[in-house]
Amino acid sequence: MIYLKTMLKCIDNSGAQMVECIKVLRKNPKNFASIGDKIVCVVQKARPSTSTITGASASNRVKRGDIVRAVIVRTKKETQRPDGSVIRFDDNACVLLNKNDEPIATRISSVVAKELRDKNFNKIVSLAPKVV
Amino acid sequence: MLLQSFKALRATRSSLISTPIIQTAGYKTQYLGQKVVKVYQPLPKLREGTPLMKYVKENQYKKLDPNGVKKSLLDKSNPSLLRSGDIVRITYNNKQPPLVGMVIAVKRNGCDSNILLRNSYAKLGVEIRVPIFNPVIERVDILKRPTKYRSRNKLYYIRGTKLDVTDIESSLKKQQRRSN
Amino acid sequence: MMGIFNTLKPLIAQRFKAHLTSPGAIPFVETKAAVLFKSPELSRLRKRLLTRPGLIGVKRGMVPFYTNEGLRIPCTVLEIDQVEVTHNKTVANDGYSAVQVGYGFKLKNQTKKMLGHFAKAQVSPKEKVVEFHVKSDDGLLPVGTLLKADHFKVGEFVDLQSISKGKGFAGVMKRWNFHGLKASHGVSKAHRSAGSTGGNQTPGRTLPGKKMAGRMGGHNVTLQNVEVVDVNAEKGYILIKGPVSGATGSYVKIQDAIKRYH
Repeated sequence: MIYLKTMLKCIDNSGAQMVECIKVLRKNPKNFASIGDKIVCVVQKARPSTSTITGASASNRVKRGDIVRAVIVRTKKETQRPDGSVIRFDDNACVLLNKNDEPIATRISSVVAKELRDKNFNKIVSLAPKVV
Repeated sequence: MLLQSFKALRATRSSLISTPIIQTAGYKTQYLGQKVVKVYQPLPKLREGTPLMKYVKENQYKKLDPNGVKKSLLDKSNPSLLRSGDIVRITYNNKQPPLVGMVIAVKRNGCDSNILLRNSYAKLGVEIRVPIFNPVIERVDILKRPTKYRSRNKLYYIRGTKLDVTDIESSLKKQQRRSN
Repeated sequence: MMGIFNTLKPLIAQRFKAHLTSPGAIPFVETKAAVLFKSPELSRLRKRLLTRPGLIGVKRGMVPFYTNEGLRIPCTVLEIDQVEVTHNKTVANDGYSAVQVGYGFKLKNQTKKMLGHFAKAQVSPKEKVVEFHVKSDDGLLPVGTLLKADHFKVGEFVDLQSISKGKGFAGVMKRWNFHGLKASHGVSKAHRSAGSTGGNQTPGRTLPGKKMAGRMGGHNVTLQNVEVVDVNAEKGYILIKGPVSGATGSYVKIQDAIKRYH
């Protein structure tokens, strides 16, 4: 249940650590975002940039205060699947996206939900170390 | 045509039903004395009188769990039943990878029974509620039982405490290596 | 010129009759009398009705239904037991066509009138009798026909009508999803009340239909386009996708979905 002011973990190597949701995209205003939904968020906490990072990844890095798009990959709220099973994670997490709905980052650090595959985020699913 | 079939139907009907039972009690009219109203017998009872829900549920068990293995896992009289604290592996008969986790709750509700599995991947807790009578679930194996069961049937309180589950898959692998 | 005019006979206008003068044409045509728009006959023709009757079932509870692919569908179990046609209503007799269908068996507390009615149809006394309007007399079924659960097929869509659970006298927050008044800021003993019910001197009254507290539930609820998941005619039940309003044991009218079939 992600809506205005929700703080989420960012689990990619874009440099963002915590982001705050400021808008749920293409949903009823009373509605909330769940796994696979897109949001607009503000980077509230970012990793300090180090000089070792070079090339494309450096240009993709985000800073504190940046407004970015993201897709939700895990929620604390239970999600029911068509086979009747229900999944919930211990935190809310997202992966940052560019305007073409592709992930900004090149690496994803932890578990993502299987639902992303149905919503055409195949790149995130293939980058993730574990899909549940 | 319709009339013919109607007549035929009537005929078969009257042959099916034995002579109408005649109700004698009640309905006295002032002038005609006692008037008798014909009452036809009901059709034979469906399912030999078994209540419908009982029949449907039993039939579901037969269809979804022909060997009775899954049912016996939830049977409280069974000594090797599934309990909170057990570590189980769920194997699917489709492409889905097997699922491993610790049972933290068992909900008994006929063919809608489910177990709540908790596991952690890289210190992140993940809980999956699995309806075990789903036909895609091939097996439910108990991999490990605790040395001592906790005194509660629902282990929700272990979330985020030092009692919480660790990465079960890697710990099981370690154990295997040691035993080898 | 004048001669041509003389050959044309004046048109004789008569009600319901049109006289034609052109040679070789039919001398006159009888037209149908106009029918009142608000007549029972026309209103019957205007109605969107089904060509066949439905069934009555009894809600018995809910079960999960698993497909072979492993999809879980929550289903309501409806019992179809001894559903028989007890009476037919025709246009000639009653002004409309309808099939009266009865459910189950009940002998206790039957009135003499109803016993006679069932005896005439040669069926056993029914515990519930309902009527299904049909489009024309062609849709009527012979009295005594036994309707089984396979009246509907798996994958078809149906409309379900039943009486919802009564909720008693309910406030506006429960009945109409009002938000109530504030928890603090001077609100006194009115946290769940409706607030204003209308204007001031204009219009000087509360408008009809204003949502207020009152009896909730216990009224007819129709669910449209509900999928039939499983049917067993021999054992007498239908599985319907999702919940059905009403308590366990309540009667449910099952018909073809009016928005999909005719």
